[in-house]
Amino acid sequence: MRRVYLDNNATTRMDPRVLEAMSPHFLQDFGNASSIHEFGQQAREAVETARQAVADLIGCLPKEIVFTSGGTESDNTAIRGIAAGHSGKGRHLITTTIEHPAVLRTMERLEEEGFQVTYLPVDRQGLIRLDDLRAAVREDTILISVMHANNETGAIQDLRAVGRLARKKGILFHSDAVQSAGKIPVDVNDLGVDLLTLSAHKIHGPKGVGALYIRHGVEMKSLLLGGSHERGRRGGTENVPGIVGLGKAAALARKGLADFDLRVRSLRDRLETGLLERIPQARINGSTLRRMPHTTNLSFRGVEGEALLISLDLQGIAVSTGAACSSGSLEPSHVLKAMGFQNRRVESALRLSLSRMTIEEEIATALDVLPSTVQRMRELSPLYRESRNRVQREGQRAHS
Amino acid sequence: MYSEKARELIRELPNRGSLAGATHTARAENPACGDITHLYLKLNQDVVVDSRFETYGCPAAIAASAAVTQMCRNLRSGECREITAESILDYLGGLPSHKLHAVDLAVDVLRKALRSNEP
Repeated sequence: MRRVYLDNNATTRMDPRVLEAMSPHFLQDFGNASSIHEFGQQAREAVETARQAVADLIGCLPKEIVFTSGGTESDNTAIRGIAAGHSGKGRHLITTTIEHPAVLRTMERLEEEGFQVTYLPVDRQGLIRLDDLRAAVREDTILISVMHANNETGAIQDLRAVGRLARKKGILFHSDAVQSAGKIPVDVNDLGVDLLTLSAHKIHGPKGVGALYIRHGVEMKSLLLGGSHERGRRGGTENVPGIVGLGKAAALARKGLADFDLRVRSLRDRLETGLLERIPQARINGSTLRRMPHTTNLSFRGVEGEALLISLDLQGIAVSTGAACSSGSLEPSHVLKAMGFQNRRVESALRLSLSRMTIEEEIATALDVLPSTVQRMRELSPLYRESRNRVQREGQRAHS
Repeated sequence: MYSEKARELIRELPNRGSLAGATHTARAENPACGDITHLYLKLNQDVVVDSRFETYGCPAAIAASAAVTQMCRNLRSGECREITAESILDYLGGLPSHKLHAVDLAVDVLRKALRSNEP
């Protein structure tokens, strides 16, 4: 069976060149980057080369990059670090309802600890409104955290506008750019962010490593206490092979940005257009104007997304869904719910996400298999039959 | 992970669709998760000679409904009543732990269908 991977927002296949770059650092150049002997200094050099590559990707200074264990740690560090370091100035934070759980759960924990958090709503396109942000800002606001691109819909927030407002009000600004960095141009100065989260495994790097950009001069408390690693901002021996992998992945991603936008966007558009043409009553969820070039989120009326996902999986196609039925209750996507969609539309949502490694044959196979699978699931679906009958009755009434 | 049997049922969707000439039918819904199942049975001299299902729901709900249509074939109505959540789970070779509730919907629709033609 030919396998098709269209779940690249969950994770990506590692680039063989990344693996090749990492390999010597397991068996041969295995030194601790904090050691002053040659083993250690080789490791240090490798870490600093990677730091430069990550800095180049997002347009910052190498010393503004802190390596972490991934996006979740970066988000936790940014938010908790600023909250702890600036609680004397204020105890109010602003974020959005569609953030990754790494941000949402951290904000909730801060609320339990006495901080106040405003969660900005989004519109049907999945975008925040600047007016809402303006209205949410208070004298005691210490941090605004708005994700760059959403992992479910690919909707891209206007960070420049958020950054301008934050700067004007003297509020620090963090963005989770895990889904955008390395896929579209991300420049921290252009966007006006003070802290930015990124992750290796979303850009064909290894799992378990990421980075946090902290603008020079931003004061914050460390989350992980220990040695003076990462200029005292993150205790713990550096994950040298992982960091080297992130550095290589960042360098490759930077080099491939233009190609990503052209080639991957073209494949995504072919997939999306083809599905909309072949499957009646299919709808795009979220903005199509401000959207990542590799993501589409579609709802297929009358088909339960998880059932469709497993049916596709049994045919070798990996995708993701917007809701899961768990222990007798529905856990709908908080993102699609926040966009104002009813449960049935959320339940029937499928996310298809491509990468630079996606090939035309995968798109062709998906276009071949998905429509017939949806059709088959609809034949099974009493909900779809009931809805079709209702539409027919209404049509007949309109004609009579 | 789904068992090989559950995967087979989800892949093949045996006995899917409605059944013309059904003598017993029922609809059941899980209001919490929104799954809906229709069961169609055709009984001849108290024996299930045909059975079909339609389900809108998660893969476990589909597998459990399909399992019921297979399990009740050629059984007398009294024997069908002895089909339980446990026996469906056995037939399926188990379900993921967070999906166990799916068999309750299948049992519910079967019981309702068997009652649907009672005088």
